[in-house]
Amino acid sequence: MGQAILTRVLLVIPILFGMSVVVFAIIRLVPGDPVAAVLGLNATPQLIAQTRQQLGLDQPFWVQYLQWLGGILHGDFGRDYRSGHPIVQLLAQTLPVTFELVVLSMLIAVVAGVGLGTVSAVWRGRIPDRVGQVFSTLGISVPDFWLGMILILGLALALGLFPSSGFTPLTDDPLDNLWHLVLPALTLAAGLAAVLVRITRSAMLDVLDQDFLRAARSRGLSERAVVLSHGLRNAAVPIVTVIGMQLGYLFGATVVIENVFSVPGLGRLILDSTLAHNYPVIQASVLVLGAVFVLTNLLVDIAYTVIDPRVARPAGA
Amino acid sequence: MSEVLDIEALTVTYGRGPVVRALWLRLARGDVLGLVGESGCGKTTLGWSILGLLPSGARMDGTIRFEGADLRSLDGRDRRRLLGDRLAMIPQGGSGALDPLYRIGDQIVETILAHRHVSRSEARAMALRQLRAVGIPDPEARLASYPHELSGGMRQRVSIATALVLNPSLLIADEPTSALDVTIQAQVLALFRDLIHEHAGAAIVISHDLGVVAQLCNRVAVMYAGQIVEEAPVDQLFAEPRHPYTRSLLAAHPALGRRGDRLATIPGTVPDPASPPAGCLFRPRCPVAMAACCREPPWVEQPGGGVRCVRHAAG
Ligand SMILES: Nc1ncnc2c1ncn2[C@@H]1O[C@H](COP(=O)(O)OP(=O)(O)OP(=O)(O)O)[C@@H](O)[C@H]1O
Ligand code: SF4
Ligand SMILES: [Mg+2]
Repeated sequence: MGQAILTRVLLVIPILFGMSVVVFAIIRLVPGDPVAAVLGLNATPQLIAQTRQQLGLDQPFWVQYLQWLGGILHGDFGRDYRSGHPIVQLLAQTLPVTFELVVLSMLIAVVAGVGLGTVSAVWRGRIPDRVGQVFSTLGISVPDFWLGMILILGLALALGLFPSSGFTPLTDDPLDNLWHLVLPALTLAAGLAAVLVRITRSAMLDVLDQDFLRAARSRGLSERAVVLSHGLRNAAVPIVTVIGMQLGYLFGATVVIENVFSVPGLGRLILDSTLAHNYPVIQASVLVLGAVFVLTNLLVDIAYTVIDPRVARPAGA
Repeated sequence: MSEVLDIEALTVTYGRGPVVRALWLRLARGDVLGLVGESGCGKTTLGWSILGLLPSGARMDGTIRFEGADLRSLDGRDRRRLLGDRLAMIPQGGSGALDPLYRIGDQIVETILAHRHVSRSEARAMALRQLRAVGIPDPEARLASYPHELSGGMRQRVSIATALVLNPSLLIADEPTSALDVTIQAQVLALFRDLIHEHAGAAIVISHDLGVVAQLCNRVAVMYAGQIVEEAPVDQLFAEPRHPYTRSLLAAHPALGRRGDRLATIPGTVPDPASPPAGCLFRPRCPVAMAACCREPPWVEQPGGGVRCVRHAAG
């Protein structure tokens, strides 16, 4: 058991390393001089040269990279070009917000998607199945930013049920915090939930047809045990695969959704710093978002070994 | 009431046509009925229809009474109470009957706990005893194994153990010994005999192995294209088969009752359920068919059974 997981965990190191190279390189390849952008119109050639030196930009590429990497390994992501604040502070403020948003959307998507998908399969061709089909078709075809706008217009502005923007930190007032995150989380969850309805339905239909499920019924187990313990658990493998594949999309979509709903998360930090050519901040926030994605993927892979003993204990081992 | 099972006019249709046709069958306490017939004649379908677990596309007509209760009119809860307890099935290809994600022990324990008010550890002890009884080596360790860690024969023994653990009054065993080697087979056959003897239960044993049927059963029903064409006490059927189909099946086996004797292959093919021949369903393959066979042959009662053939109707 430990062996497979350990290998997978160790694999994360080269992945993160490779990601840091790519992120660093891409930022350098982006046209435009960061220093000129920082100094603005009143930059003199002398001032530019001086700033370059201060920021270490006159060093060879690989030296810059190693310095950056060394800093990160010590928890130092560098300083914001403009404000001069340590970037770690920015990350510490924004990452938990995005994390909360993603976890909340994931919860909504899994509960709604897997629930509706299971019900659709069990009542195949009947009303719950129709509802599931309509829902998943809508969820897949409607773009999320558009859904966000509609939710803001309808539930927030017209009905006043939810706030349309603004944010309260979790530590200040958890309820108010949740209140502000409901709409963005719903928006983010819709697409994933729709995909999960489909995949759960087909995986469940597949499992419900298997010999061992009929055998479980023949042993007189309750319908709940048959459908959930034996059915859904077996369907969980493809479901978890899809969740893993959709994670990247989910993290990417936070950039759009956080801006639509003015949520002060990592996604918004990425967009703001990009518009401001704030290179060290872009670099750090993109790297962190990527790392979170890689780690979540690791969790998904570990989930497989928990769900399916054949992964952790192959026959003949 | 000594009647365990009473099936009247059971018909099962899968879209294309009936695969079980107006079938009648009775089982008394202590009966062990061997059900034989070529592949596709409807043996497995008959078994699952007794449990009420046919696939969703199947249509079923007729009456099935189990210990006096009309199974088809029971609601889901009352039916579940019977299944796995008084009415148990060993599914065909037993190794596919186990959920790959759960330990062997948990699956047996789960079955016991669904029916008996015992503690988990008592249930484990029962499971352990049963695994030992079906000849599984190192049963304590096997309780913690996953199905994929066992061989096919071991998995089949596990599903046998699971079906027997609550001493059912009717056991339906669909090819229960096909994946077992000869020594284990002897053990398992002895176990079946004991179970039936001790608990006055009854069993239907579906098998291609005439040796198994000869050793285990007191009666045999021969099935062809969804009908029972002959039923007789086991010795009589082997000594003096009446139906031409039974004779063809047995023709290749001069020394009957030996383990491992397989059903002979008969020239021709089983009729397509969608377009059966008129009259006797065996007519296209029957070596002694005659003009009268174009009408449906009657069921002719015989001592201890009967036969469906015009040649016997004449006397
Ligand atoms: N789920 C199903 N849908 C449609 N037809 C089916 C289904 N299951 C079985 N059949 C058909 O019903 C007929 C009887 O099948 P059944 O499995 O009962 O035969 P069997 O006597 O058990 O055969 P075998 O000896 O090979 O196990 C066959 O023609 C088969 O093709
Ligand atoms: S009824 Fe006719 S065709 Fe059918 S088995 Fe008897 S002899 Fe053969
Ligand atoms: Mg069969």
